[in-house]
Amino acid sequence: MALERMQVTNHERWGNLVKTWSTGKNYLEDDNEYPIPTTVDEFKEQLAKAQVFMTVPDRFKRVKFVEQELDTIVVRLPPAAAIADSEEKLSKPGATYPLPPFYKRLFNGMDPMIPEAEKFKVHAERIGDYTISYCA
Amino acid sequence: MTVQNVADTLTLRASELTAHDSNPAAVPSGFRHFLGTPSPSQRFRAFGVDPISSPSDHARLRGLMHRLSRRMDAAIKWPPHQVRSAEHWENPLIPSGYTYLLQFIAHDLVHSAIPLSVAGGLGRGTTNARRTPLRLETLYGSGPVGSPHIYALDAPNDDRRTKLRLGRMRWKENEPASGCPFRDIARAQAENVTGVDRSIAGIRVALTEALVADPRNDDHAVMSQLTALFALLHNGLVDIIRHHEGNAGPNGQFGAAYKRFLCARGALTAIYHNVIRNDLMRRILHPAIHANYSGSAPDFIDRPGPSRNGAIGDWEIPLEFSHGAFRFGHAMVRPEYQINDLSLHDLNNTLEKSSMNDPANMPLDETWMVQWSRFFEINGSRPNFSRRIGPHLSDGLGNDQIFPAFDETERVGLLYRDLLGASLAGMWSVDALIAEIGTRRPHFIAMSRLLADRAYRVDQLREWFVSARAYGALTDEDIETLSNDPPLPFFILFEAMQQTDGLQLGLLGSIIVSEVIFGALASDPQSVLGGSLADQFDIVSRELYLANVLQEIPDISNMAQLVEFTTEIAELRQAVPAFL
Repeated sequence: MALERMQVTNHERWGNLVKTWSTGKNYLEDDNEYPIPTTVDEFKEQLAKAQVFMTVPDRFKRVKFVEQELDTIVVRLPPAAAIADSEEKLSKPGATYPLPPFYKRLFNGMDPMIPEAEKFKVHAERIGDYTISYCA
Repeated sequence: MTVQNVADTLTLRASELTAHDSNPAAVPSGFRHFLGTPSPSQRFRAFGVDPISSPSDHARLRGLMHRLSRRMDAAIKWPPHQVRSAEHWENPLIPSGYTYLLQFIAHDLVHSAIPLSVAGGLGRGTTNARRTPLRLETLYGSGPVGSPHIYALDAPNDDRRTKLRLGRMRWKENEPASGCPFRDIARAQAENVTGVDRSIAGIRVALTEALVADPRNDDHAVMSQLTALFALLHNGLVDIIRHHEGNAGPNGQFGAAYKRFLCARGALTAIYHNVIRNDLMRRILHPAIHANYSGSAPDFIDRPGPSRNGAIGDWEIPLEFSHGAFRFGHAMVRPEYQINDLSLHDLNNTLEKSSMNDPANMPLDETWMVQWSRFFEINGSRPNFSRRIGPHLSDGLGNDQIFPAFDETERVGLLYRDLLGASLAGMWSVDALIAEIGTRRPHFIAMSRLLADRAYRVDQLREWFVSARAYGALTDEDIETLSNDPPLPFFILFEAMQQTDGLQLGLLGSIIVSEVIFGALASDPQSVLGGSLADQFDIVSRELYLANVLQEIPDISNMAQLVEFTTEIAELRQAVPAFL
């Protein structure tokens, strides 16, 4: 069975929740409190409070927050099984590489179209990017 | 679009027009109450207050429904299945195609200009314009004369429009020289008076207009694909009928075209009814209730008075169905769909794919061409299964772009709208409804402890509310009012979870749905006259022709057979992307 992935519905709210955890300032501008969660249950409860509507598959049992320092290289290695799962999906002819919907807004409203020949190139580039990015 | 305009004009029944200001419970045209209008003491209350008679308490009601909707954000811990290949939240008894057949049927039963939740009360544009139920008005509109924009010529040498218009799909890369197949609904561009053009200059024209009878049939990609499926079937039926026609001669073409259209529409309506009766209802209803209603002459308990629903075009839908029980379909929506062999799309992408929301990416491309064996069980296929029915919806239905907040609660998503709309409709309370059904059919109520034993019911509800207090932060007062007087759409989901592990509706949900759906089928003279589907084809055909021109159509009693027959007559067996 294919690996179930986390799916974010409301990306802006998710980003604001991450900023809230990182800075301690409530970017969601509501009356809730958002201390850094220590369990998956707490994580899900805060997602609900922030109306992120993220689907979190049952296979996740723990949550780990990594606070990055400006002078430390942090390389977050994705699970080998997740890479294998992606590669298997992308190997099928015609398979599409999924991108979050906000990319479309940034590209004139067109669905991002990754040519068949470039699927694995983009896959590698994306993994490389999100593994070391600060995203800030 | 015509229907939309009709719905925009709020027309209360004449007898209620003068009374409306002084009677806020007056029901908008096209609606009525299940089992008759409840008295004020029989209506739903929040904190002991009737929302209909006390608009000043609406802010408190909104707060309560907001917190209840947040309680329902907590995922349900479903028991595991015997079938190991199904996820615990999936329902192997109901493939996902039925979720959208239910939505299509909802469009064929109700059409209002504005949701009750957004309108804030009865009236104000909430009229139901659908007055002949389940006759496929949602597909055919007002027919080739009244809705010509949705019809196409059915042959190169015929200037009459009797086929439903379809549009070409798109390939993401390398469009073939011969043109793409007609697999999407028809879509068009329209210059906007505001000057806003959503096209991508020099690259793609925005197709902002879906050429369908009911704009809701382009709510999302699966819905428009289902509409295209029915259109393909209609068009194939037109070809079959034409094959049996004699030569009408140059002056007879006009009459021949309309006979052909009426015959195809009659045949498709008969097939649709047969599928609803024998396939869809059997899957969603509690077996005991299905057995009671699926016979040839069910004994209905919800019969409108003699002055109402007596004639064609007078039909009214019970609010307890449209704003209560039938909302259960929202709980069946999956978080993602395997659309065809190659493409998996999440719900957010799926919901966005319409001419209204995403005109620059229309028509739908190959990744959205539904392979129907992924949505119905066809020759042993393993389709997407719907979600189990319970008080929780897929996260994608909380999308703040598609279902933005509209009041002071700042609550986004579909669920709050369902709960608030139900609370403002002046509907029966769950207690009073159970009591009323109990006086008419005591054996129905006796089958369920949840219905028959009020104290047990309140305890079960209270136990569920307190079990996840981090969600919604329900107060003790909230829990007491919701346990004693739950909103109907919530209770229907709760009942399904408690009684059937979410695999079907519970008893109360099944009774309401059966009364309305089987009642609507029974109100159709064609459905009543004919016995088997073959008999109905014979009646439809002989009203228009000397012989039965529909003789070669097989028995179609379920969606799998409907898809297989459509595949044959539309010559899509070898289609790329796969149709079957």
